[in-house]
Amino acid sequence: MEAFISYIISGIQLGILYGIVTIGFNLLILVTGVLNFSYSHLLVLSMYAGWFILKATGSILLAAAGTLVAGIFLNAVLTPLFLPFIKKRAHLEALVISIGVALISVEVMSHWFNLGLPIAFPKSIQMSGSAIKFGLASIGIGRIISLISGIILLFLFFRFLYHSKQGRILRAVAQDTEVAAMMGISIPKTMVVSFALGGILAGIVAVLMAVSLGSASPELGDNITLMCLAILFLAGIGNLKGGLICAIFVGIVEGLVMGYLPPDWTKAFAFSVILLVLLFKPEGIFGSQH
Amino acid sequence: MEQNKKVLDINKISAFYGPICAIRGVSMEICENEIVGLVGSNGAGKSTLMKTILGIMRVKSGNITFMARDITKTATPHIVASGIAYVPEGGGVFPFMSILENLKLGAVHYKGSINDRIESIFSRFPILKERQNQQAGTLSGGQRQIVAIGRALMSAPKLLMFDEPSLGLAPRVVEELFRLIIELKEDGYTILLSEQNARKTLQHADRAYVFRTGSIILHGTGAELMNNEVVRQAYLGG
Repeated sequence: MEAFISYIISGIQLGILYGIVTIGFNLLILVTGVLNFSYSHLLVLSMYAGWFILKATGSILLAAAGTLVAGIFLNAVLTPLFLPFIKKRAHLEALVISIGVALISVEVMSHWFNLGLPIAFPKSIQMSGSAIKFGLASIGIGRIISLISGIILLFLFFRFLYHSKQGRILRAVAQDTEVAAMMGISIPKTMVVSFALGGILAGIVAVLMAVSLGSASPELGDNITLMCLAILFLAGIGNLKGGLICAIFVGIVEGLVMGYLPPDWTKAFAFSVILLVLLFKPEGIFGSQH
Repeated sequence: MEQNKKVLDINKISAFYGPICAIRGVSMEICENEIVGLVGSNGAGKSTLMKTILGIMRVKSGNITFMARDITKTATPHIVASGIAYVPEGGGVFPFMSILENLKLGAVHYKGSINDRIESIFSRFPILKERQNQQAGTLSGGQRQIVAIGRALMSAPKLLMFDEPSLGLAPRVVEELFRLIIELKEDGYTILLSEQNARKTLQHADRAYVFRTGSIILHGTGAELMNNEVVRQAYLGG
């Protein structure tokens, strides 16, 4: 029973990280119409940036700040690359560009950084030494920190989106770009805001992943993208809250499979569940309302 | 029309959808506290003209002056900020937002107190106050128009543009809508009204312009146009 609870908690923690990344994907789809395939690859690149800083300076605080800045910076750099395509409504072309960015970043990570080997963050930042023990099971403090920070981040994000002027403007552009423009909302400026916001989310998730997973590899970006895209379709494209609920559900499934089955089965199992649901509800569980 | 202060002055503008000329050499003016009608069939260029005034469509030649300032090349947010508000065809409400949020989005550039504006809109349209937290997507066509008009009024505009407000509404609702437009004029608003319902528009407009394939073929006071043979044949059913 204790083990079961610890798998569930790990699953929720993983699910919340998936949820935040899925929101990052959705935000860009809603505001710009572009599916940015490379979003989680840039997130992993930010983790690499943090790892380098940690190795060079030994300061956890500097590394965390560096990871966050890298997340924002990498997404900001992409903005001018995508904007011309968005203006022409060439969303498929933008998708191809973003796949290109993803492939390039995987190649760079696997040839130039750490000889292509996975990077491991020192055990100290996971604080796995001081795990919370109950019965036979235990949960690393790193996971708990990641879980709590993730929840706080989500709370702040939704507060911003639903209770601030800029959040309202983002949702207006997402719901009807043409009318939003007629209300005097600057569309290019709103798109830049959505990229920046996506960057902030990616940067924070990168820090939380370093703390909870403790490692990163060149393939990690592909894995996260695959998982989050599946969650996105499962919930219904563009549905932020639905995406979050589905992400937590998929995280729990993955956590349980990881606990009771050989770990290679996690992805297969999670995707089987998603396929089954989509078979009966192709528009996603929650549909695409905002 | 005692005061002849020009609010909007359009001078020989042309605009294109790709290679297609949507508006050619259109000139018109709107004076303070007038209702100016735009009459013409579907696709005659009425909506395009409004989008061009708003800066959504680029002007190829000619110029537009609003409140004595050239806005021909001005970006849409600045044009809206300078005092032009738009009620899109069908209302164009944001469906997944509450009425209150829709209203607030009409005041993106409003400098004064937004809460005071909301109160004044609520006192004009009590139904919006009752339903302020209801999602706009669940409203009827007529109610959506009211939300869209309230949203446009939020910025205390100097020019209010309506794009086909009566489209798809029941006759009784159309009556109410035109009564509301006249009330707005009495309150001092300046109105540009694009309509396919030529009869009602010409009855209520101070002046009107008749559009065909992107150009103005006639203009005059509402009464003059009502008695014009061409207008009667083409738009009033003989």
